[in-house]
Amino acid sequence: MNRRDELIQHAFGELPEDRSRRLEASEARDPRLAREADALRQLRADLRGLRDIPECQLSAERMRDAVLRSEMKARPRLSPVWLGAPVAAGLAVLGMFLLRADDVPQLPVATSTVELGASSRPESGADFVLAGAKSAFDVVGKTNTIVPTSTAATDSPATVAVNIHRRPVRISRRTEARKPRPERFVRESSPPAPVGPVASATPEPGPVDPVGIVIIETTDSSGEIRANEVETASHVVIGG
Amino acid sequence: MMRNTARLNLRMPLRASTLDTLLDHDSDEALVARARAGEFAAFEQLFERHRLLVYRYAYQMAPRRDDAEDIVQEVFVRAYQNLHRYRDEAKFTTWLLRIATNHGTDRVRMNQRRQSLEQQEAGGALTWMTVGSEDDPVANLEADRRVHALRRALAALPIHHRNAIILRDIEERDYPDIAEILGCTVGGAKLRVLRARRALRDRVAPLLGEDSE
Repeated sequence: MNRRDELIQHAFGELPEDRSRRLEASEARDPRLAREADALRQLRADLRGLRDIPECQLSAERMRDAVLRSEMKARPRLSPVWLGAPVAAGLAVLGMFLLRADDVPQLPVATSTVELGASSRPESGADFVLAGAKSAFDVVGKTNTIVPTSTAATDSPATVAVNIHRRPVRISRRTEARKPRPERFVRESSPPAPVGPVASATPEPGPVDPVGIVIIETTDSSGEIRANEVETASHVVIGG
Repeated sequence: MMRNTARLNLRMPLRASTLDTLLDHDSDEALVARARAGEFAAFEQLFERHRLLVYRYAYQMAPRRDDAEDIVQEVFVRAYQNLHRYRDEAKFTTWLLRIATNHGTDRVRMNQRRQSLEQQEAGGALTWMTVGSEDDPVANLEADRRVHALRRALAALPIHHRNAIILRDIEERDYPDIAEILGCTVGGAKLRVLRARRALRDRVAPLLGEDSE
């Protein structure tokens, strides 16, 4: 410790007694040393004066709010396991819904089967059957023309199926997968009547339920779409 | 039978109420134990008891009231979050001041950067507001002049020197406490205080128009 450090310790009252006395003796002989010792004592007093500070206005409420905020921030987030649980439950519900959707009961089938003459059959050779897979007519657009189901699926923007029992109307875009199987209707229907040169439909003998036809009309100018439902008689003649 | 009961009681986990009977009800340690057990009112008592101590220390580190209050608030938030880490062998106030030192040091460094940027932007016009000078009309009196010069010199000290001066010469804490707060030995704390005083004297002497040896 050099002389200056001793002087600092002495001014701040931290020098041992014997060394303090020696230093005081030196101060009496050296005015410059005495002046420096006085300045250091003044510094010590000034530092104590720094204890006068403005009043603290921090309230307990503010501290409590800060603690609460920090606790909320520090709260652990949900782990991925807990996040996965609702996702898994949702997937399970979705899966059950899809399974049940495949088991939708078949709507009652209208037995009215009308066939067109050979001249109007499509070249593909598919049977032309008006009764769809689920007892409904496929009626397309404003042209009021009944077309084969397979053709409607590819050409029309939408197909409408209606049955006479006022069951829920199912509007769907048919796909190849849902194309009705022709052999089924061939088996259910009676043997076709002889077909003349002019396209005509011969009703099947016996009581036949009436069917409903929904005709969708579109106004070209305004784009308005209307649906007209027409209930037919038991015998339907199509063509001409 | 009595022995069995006593053994059973000793094996039971100590609750806050049990600790209260063992400790002085109003001591810092008892309040800490109750706060650890979830009693926030006990922590509020600790806050009321020690907030001025922490505030004084914080104000010396960052001599603006709002900054100092922010430091105090953050110190008590950190103390509450880390109550489980407090070991009873250290004094609670020492532990608090240690947190204040760590947080205040970061804060002061941030403030110094901010103040220097503000002063650069204002072209030095804010100097008299932040640190004071002899040109300040309020500081015409000699005492005020000395206080302002001292504050200016203190603010210019490195933070570890400043903390040593604050703890020893303003807060008048003893060396073992200072060593605990600063995380050093007692001898190291004494040496740090001595060097800090020397540096302060060198800085304040020109401001007061004095010669330093």
